[in-house]
Amino acid sequence: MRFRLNLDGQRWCIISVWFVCLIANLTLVLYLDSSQYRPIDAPPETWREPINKLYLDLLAIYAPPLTTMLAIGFARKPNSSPRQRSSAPYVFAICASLLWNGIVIVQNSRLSVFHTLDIQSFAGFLPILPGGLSFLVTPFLAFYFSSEQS
Amino acid sequence: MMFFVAQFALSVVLASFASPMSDEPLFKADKPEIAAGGSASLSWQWNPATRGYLSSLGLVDHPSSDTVRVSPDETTSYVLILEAPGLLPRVLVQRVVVRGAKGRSGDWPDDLFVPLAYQADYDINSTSLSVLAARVRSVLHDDRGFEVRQFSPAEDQIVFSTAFLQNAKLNEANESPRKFRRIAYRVALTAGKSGLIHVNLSSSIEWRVVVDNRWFPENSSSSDRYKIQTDDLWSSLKAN
Repeated sequence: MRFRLNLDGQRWCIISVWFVCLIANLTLVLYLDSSQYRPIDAPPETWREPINKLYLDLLAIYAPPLTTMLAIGFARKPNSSPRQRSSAPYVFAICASLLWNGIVIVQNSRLSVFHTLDIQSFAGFLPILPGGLSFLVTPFLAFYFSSEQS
Repeated sequence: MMFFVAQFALSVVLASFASPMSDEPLFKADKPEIAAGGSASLSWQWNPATRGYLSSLGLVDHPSSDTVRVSPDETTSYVLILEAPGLLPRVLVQRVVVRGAKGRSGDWPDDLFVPLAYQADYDINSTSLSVLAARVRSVLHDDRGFEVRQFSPAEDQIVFSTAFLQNAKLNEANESPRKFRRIAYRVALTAGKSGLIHVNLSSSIEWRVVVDNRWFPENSSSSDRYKIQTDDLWSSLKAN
């Protein structure tokens, strides 16, 4: 049996990928926080600044695409007789989403789990993503979340 | 007769000019400023000297007079200690400025002219400041691998200051989170009268966690760790 989604289903599937990856990234940073930053007996001043900034930086890079997706996802009225759509743009959207999020998760794992990346380097890398890899996100945002069709 | 009188007078005049030269030690560089990759000659002379120490070499073979060639990779103060029987040791400094040098990569304590966080004072009855200085240089640089700078803030004092060096012995495997630690030492030797040398030994320990590049000073509750390290260095200095 071939499983095909209508536009609403595809939208929510893409949103789910992004949401799960955000949760995964925050979980990795939480693990780093609890294993490295919290157990210090007498923490020096400004000690937690990098980890606190990392939470905010992660939320900052996820906020623009997720806000757009969720806003439009909720704003569109569900179609009572949804049509099936071609899977090519959907596959591209899923692959682009996985690539974008995969890069963040891999770098985050290097920092949080394998300790082969320091927190300052990771914080320096994060702001590059929204600009440098925006070509991966913008096309499917435009296609799925500004299309009048449903 | 007149000739001999004139010759005697001349020799007295010459001797009066020459005597300060032999009483006061000379230490000079032929070029006080060199380009990166260049070299300079350091020469010294003090006729009564029987023992000497040069910061770049250790104990010198010809304390009364010699010349050595140096090629510093950054601006360096060379410290020379000359000792003569019955006289106080002379500590002389010659600075060689290196233009266009990149310098070394080590992390140094903020102020090399003040003792570091944890201090211990000792008096040692050594017959020679030069020998003790050579011992300190050997232990810090050769045995322990520290990058060492030497300078002389006072005319009877030589100070050895090291860059920070990570030392696996300072880490504790069971510590969670696992910390990296590094240590820097400062050893000040001051020549006293009657052959007593005062040693001010100080150290600074810093830590960081694996993923964060910032270094923080070890707090005062870790004084045992400081004491162990300082005592260990002092034992090495005494043992050699």
